[in-house]
Amino acid sequence: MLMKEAAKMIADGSSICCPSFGYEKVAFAFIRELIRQRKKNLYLYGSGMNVDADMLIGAGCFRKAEIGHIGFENIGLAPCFRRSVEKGEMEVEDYSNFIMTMRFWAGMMGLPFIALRSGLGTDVQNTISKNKAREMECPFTGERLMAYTPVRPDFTIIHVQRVDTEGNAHIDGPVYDNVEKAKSAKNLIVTCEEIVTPDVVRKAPEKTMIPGFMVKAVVEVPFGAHPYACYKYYDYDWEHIEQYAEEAKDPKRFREYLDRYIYNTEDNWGYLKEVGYEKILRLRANTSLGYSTYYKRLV
Amino acid sequence: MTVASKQEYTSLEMMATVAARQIKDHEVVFVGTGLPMLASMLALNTHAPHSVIMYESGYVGCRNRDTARIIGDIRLMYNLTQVTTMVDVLGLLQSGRVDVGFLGGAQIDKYGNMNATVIGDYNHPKVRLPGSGGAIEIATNAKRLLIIVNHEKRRFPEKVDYVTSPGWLNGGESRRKAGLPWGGPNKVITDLAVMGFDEKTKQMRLESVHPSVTVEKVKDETGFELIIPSQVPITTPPTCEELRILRDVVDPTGFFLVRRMKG
Repeated sequence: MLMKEAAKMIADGSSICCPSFGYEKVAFAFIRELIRQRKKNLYLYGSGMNVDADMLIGAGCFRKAEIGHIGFENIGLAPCFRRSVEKGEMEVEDYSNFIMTMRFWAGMMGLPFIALRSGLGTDVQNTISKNKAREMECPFTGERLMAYTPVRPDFTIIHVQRVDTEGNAHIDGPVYDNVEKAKSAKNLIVTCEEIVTPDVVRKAPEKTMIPGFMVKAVVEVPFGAHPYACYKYYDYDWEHIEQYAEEAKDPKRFREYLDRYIYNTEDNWGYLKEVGYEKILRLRANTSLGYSTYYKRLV
Repeated sequence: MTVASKQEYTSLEMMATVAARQIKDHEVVFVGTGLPMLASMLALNTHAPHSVIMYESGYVGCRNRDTARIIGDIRLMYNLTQVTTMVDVLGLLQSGRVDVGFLGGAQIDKYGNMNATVIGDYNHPKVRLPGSGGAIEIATNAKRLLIIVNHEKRRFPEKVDYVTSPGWLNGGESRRKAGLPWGGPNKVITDLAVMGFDEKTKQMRLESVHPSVTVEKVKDETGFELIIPSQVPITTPPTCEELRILRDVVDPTGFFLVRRMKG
């Protein structure tokens, strides 16, 4: 399916999840298309998130978020997220990565709740509504636990290395909590580096993380995770991430970033051209490592 | 084993070294972003070659060749024992299979409760921070919790603005009573000192000060009453060998060590 059509399926007001752990295999081209189509009032579900969520928040796509984390690790705080919450423009419910992951797991499993230890003794107990999180006693041992409601997003959008013509999705390398997020969704969209023939999947079925029957739409988009990495295909673009982190601190410069890379580009090819083809080629993964040797030459 | 003199190392290298020494050989270590990544790799390359380094991103048994910059870095895939899911590694943590967990944060109180969520009121925050991430899980479930934080008065308040991750809660037996069956903060490693917790009251207690840091300075930079023993030893600084491994093996491009020194 074409990216534009796939993104059009997401109506304003929908709840979405774009799995985004580790600056790797994130459906970033899809995220840019959501921004390009100026989606409004979306509801965000996620665990550990970084630039992806920050950019969508800055572009004004969300009204509320249920999260584990939005930050840039050693680069610093997420500037748009910070601004938006401090100004009261967006509501947040704070859980943790594991709580969110297991809420997706409960959604995937079709269960009405999930019980964990995470949250006991923390302000999760004081800030989250009792309709979504409450303390309980184990019916068998009497142990104190926290019960949480499941998460079932209207749409989950994942990025993988390859999908066959029947929608079966291969994932190379880390999977994080992408399977739980994908399988808990009411509608699943998969973007990929390449669409392959079914024999590629059937020769390596252990890499199939999502069966085709669960997939609503497939979009082929090479370098679709940039500025993040895609294991065995390309590395993260660290300078671009740092550039974003810097520019997003200032609302005017953030707007210029969106204009330059998203609003004024037609699609992901236009975006990649703006980033620069030389840079893109330098990020290509080294076959023996699975990532690029580019960063060794920087220092 | 030659100990380096003060001019020869940064406080970041001091903290990484002190943290590394807390890891025993054969232990399972759950590593968070930043300085713990350096500490765990230093331990692996010195006294704890059999330690198992685990990341929330699903990496188990890391022996990466190039420095990982973030916890999901695909550099960690290289020379790895196992790559698995978040449910799996965080499940191992919850079921008590992890010996040591590392944590940082914006604020810490005298019972080791930490805040990584907001400065100010939760509903109208002055500063919105990233939030828990895996901090709740690490603080709840690791058998031994090591906290690494910069020692500034505003980071050591009487009470944290929001309890992101549970320490000893209100001290005494309150952590167990709240339903947390094991674990709890063990050491707090800062750029000035190393602290532990009183066995009974669970209040923070000074254990050693780093070379050329006075006890007065530590008290000045702590916003609550710290237990000060009558004798406060000086933290053993990094050895030349530890510094060599940190700089040449763990972070040869200086991504953490040099960047931070500039800042």
